[in-house]
Amino acid sequence: MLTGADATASRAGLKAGMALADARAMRPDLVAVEAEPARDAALLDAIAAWCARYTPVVALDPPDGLFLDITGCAHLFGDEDALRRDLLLRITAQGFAARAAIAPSPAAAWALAHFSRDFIGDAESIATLLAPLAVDSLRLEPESGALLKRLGLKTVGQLIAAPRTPLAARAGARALLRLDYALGRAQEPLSPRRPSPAAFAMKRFVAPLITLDAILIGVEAACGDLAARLDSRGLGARRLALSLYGVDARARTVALKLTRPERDARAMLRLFREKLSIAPEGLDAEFGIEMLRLDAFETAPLTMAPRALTAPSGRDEEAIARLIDALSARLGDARVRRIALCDAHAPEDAAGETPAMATAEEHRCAAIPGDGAMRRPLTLFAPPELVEAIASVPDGPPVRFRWRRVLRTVVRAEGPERIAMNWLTRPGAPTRDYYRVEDANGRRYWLYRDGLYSERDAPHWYVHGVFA
Amino acid sequence: MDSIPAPARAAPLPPGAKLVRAADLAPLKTETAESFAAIAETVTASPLHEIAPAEAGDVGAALGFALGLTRLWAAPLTVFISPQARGGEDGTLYAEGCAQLGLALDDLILVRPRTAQDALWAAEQALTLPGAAVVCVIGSLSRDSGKTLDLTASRRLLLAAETYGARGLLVRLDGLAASAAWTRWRIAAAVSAAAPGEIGRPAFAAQLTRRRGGRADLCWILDWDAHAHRFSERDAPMAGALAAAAANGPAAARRAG
Repeated sequence: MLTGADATASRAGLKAGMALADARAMRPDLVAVEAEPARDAALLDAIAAWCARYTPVVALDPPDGLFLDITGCAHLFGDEDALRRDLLLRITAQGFAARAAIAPSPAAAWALAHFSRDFIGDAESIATLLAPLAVDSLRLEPESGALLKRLGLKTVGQLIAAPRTPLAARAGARALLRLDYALGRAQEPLSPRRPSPAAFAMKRFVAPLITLDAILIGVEAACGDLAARLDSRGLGARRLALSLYGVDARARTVALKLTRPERDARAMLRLFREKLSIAPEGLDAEFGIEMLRLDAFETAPLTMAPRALTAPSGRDEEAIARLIDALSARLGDARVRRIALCDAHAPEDAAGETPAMATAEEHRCAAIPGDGAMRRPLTLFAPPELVEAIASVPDGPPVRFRWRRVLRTVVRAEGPERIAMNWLTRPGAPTRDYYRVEDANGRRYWLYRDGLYSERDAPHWYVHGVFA
Repeated sequence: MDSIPAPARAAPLPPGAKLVRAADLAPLKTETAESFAAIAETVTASPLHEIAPAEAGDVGAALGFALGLTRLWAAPLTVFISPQARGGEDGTLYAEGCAQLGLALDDLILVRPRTAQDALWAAEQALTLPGAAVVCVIGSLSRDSGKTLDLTASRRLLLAAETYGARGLLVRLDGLAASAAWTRWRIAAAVSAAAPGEIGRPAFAAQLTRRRGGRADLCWILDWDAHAHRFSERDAPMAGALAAAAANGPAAARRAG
């Protein structure tokens, strides 16, 4: 069976749905190629991805169609017709045959693209434009389509004029719903390929931007637009995605996460400047950027807190959040961290580090020991460092130990503090006896013996950390 | 910049005072040596400081001293920047230890940049937060980091700290000391003052080696009070410990592993 026909085959009278044998009988010189639905679907998805340069909202209409929601996008190209011509020109240049139509509803656009010679319709003209089209243009189910034809309703216009109630009873409510979708009386749900942003701002440039500075000026303008859009709705965005569309038909996307909802254009620009400045060559913008779009996701209402004239804590939470965002944007989330205390047996597990961007939780407070002496070291080595130690008595602290090639004499020692390893997370790990020791120079170390003498013959000693 | 009050200088010149060469001045007697508390006030009021361990083994003391200094004023945020060392040889800040030193963990952010350049960039960013305390580790013990902080870079940090009223503390492990810092410190561990068999409070032998507009080459033995967030001067064993600290000169630093 034929699943598709190119322009030449169509002129010869071949069309999709024909049996291959019939087609060969009509045209013995037919060149038939095995259909590859999976690859076609992948190609359609790729074209949809490419179409993201026109709008963030692109929905697939398999096997060979796409819906683009161009609300708020057309003005960048002049008008709707200019956008349509630009899209068709570029699609055709890539070797595809395509038809495109613009209408107030997806169903009407589909009908115009497939059945009409007029490709642009607005809210007033759409009923007139659809009227002469066959009822098939409404994408009816086959049965209701056949039924309408038997009733003598061949065009959309006749369907519009027909009395609704008896029609609904006979042809089914779904056929009328299709009509309402086309006329914009009902909202047809689209499922976009990618989540639609809550707000977006697009910029298109007359000449391609090549330098980072020029691109940043474009980003600045987009940030301004987006911030104004968020501001008017009282929203802030926790996630931003900047897409740069190059002359080479490739899209580059820079994503940003934010600690708290943001709607300040300057703060956004600062983060993008950091993000872009670390990888200007990664942008690979040698042919230039002709368009960019800034999408806002995960928006949340911003409540304007009245700013106290004197902040009680002296902390500017917003400034701190922005600093964390800026550091994380350039260095990576994992490199900007907070530390918190957590309950764990092994000391190395107790260093609860989390990326600073993660939502802050309530931390357990550590009490400072009453005598002001530290029980735990200021810095910890991971892994602990093996030392040669000489202990006077088997269960005592070492008298001397050699660490990093220097022999150190223990003058003071506190301990042992016995820490058993968690048998779930570290099965079979020996018990550790920790000592806080001070050497002749006043340096303090956190040493442990890995295992009791009853557990093993010659337990090793380790330096696990140093005190202040 | 005009709206931000200039940091108080350590020793403001009285009107009509003339500058004289230091060598022309009579040497000050030890009795008139300034107390650490007075110096600490200067430190909290001026923008950029440099802290170096006296020897390789004193890194823990230098970090403890720097982090202690950040508690001398009510910084809304402490940013600790330390380039990631290979194999963790420099150690990482440990939450429980930090808390026991008296740091507020909620106000502490650790930054581990990949390179020294990123570290300086992060320090400059952090210094734009008004009142912030920024501790930046320069260089590393575990590798030859080369010349990472030149005078220009340190002037940038100074400018940021002055403009935004933040404080920068550079912990220099690279053994170099050329910067625009207002004070420069050499920190060694000090022998504990506690009873035998006890470790006692964190103790430091602090040597002020340079001070802008003031007398340097002063030494103190300090005990850190984590509850009161202050360094207390130790008087009794001063002479002996001072001598020990002085003996651990730069020559010893080169010797130590």
